[in-house]
Amino acid sequence: MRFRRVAEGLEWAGIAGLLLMLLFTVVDVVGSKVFNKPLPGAIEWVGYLQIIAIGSTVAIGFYANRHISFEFLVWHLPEPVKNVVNKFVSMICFAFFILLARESFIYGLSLQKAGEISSTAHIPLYPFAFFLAFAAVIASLFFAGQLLPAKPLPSRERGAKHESS
Amino acid sequence: MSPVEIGLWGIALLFVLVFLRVPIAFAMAIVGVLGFGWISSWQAGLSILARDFFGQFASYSLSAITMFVLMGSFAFVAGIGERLYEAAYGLVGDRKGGLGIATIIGCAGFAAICGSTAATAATMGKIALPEMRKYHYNDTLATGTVASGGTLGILIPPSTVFIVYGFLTEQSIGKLFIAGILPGLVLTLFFGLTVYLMCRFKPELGPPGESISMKAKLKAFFSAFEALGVFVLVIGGLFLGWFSPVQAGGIGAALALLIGLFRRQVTWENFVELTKDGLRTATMILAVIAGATIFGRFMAVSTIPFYLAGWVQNLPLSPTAIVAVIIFIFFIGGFFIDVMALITLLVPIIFPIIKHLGLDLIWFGVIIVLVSNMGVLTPPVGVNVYVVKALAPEIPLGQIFKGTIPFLIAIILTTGIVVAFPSLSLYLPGLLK
Repeated sequence: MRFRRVAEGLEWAGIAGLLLMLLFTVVDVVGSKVFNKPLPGAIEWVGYLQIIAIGSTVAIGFYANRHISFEFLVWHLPEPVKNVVNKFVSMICFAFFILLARESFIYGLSLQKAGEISSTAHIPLYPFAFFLAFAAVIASLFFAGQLLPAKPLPSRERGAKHESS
Repeated sequence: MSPVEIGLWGIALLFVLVFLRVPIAFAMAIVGVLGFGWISSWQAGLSILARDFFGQFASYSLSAITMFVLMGSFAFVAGIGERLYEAAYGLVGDRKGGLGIATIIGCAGFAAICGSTAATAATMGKIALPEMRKYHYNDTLATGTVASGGTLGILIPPSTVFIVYGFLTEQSIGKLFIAGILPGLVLTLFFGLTVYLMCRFKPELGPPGESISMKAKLKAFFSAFEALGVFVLVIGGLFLGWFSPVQAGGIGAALALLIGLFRRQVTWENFVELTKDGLRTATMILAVIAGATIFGRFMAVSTIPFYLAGWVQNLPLSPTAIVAVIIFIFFIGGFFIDVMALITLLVPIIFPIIKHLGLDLIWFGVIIVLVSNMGVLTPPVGVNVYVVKALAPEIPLGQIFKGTIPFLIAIILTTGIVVAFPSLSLYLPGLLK
């Protein structure tokens, strides 16, 4: 599938974000319960790292068919109608993710301009909004791939396919 | 057009998009932005899009979902499910229907460290299905037991559905978790009884398994203590106020990983695979919540939930009858829509009604989870049935659905008991500080 590798690459950032979330949580709990020294700003770090973790995984979720959708009705449609419906849905979702990217970018700019930082750890917030915008662009690629005409097979494969048919 | 009319058009559009296979999370966000923009202003509609996705993805309280899902994944890697099943087998495996009962007990044990129905069914199914088939269990009973036993995953804490419900209704996640314990035990008992009665009247359905020595039984029993340890620390910590839900999930995930490392069951490959799997599940849930938040804002400005609450309150029906109607709506919805999506769609509309009627939202949360349990077993979208189908592809889907019917009756019975005796779910939360 087109652009899948891009989504898979981004998923590694998500894994790193998730494991860092876990690390911050454990260090905070052990620090506060055992040594009476909680990790300063742990709550904020865990929250913002979650944007990296979740944002990075939205795109691969489409390739892996992990987002909840109601398949039942479309299954029963004839193939040509199904294709038209799929193109229409891809168009809507592509537009949605481009809009989400645009709005997240604008939101990031407003956070940057206002100098918004978190209250305890003083983490600047705008990079996370920019990251969300980037993740939305990567997610939109899934639908762009569905809208583009099918890739022609390389000549050797085409020959093999022809022979087998 | 009045806000209520726009709201009704919005709901209709949502259904059209959902039926066209737009992922539910994003269908809710699209309709939410359009509807909110139409009623308020387009600028406001667009600005909630980025703010709500940012806000929900960065929400510390929602990190509890991510942590508990990860805990379930690491518990699987650590082989905890396997040892739980072995311990349960040691207890009842050599009796008629014993393997089925052991599967139910194993599911209940795994549910205590995993908050998902599908993950519980998948974990136990991988272990229990081959065993049951080895001893010539009836396929309908074997697959029905695994699919149904998995539903305990969201009733016995931790539970992703309780977290989502708590987030949507602003209820204490700790109290919701504790509220699920007694109904979870009752449901475990009813599931066990279901298997027992079926095998008592038709012994050929579930022949006894191989008898094992007392020494082996004790060994298996003690090897499952680590699961009990994780449960006691995580849920006990929540109960006693030591941990927040996020911290409890984090500590549980770290402990499960440590157990796996200690037992040398974690490899780089299964660690990466299960971490990815957990992350994808958490992303799916958080995306649905972000979409539901935007849709909820649209519903709020459309004033539909308030009209609905007032209308329901004026109906000549008792609160119990209204709850029965709501249960019926969820039950029917569960046939067609995934339970997580159904909850995020309906709870924001329905919970003002429950509040208006003066009913307890913790008690109602337990009922919602029980009804969700039915939704993961009923066709055509019964997720647990598909999980079992993936584990046993040669068994027809219809046969697996048929196998869940006796267990559905057990869930309906438990729901009736929880509705009739609210103290079953409210006694333990009442002990919380």
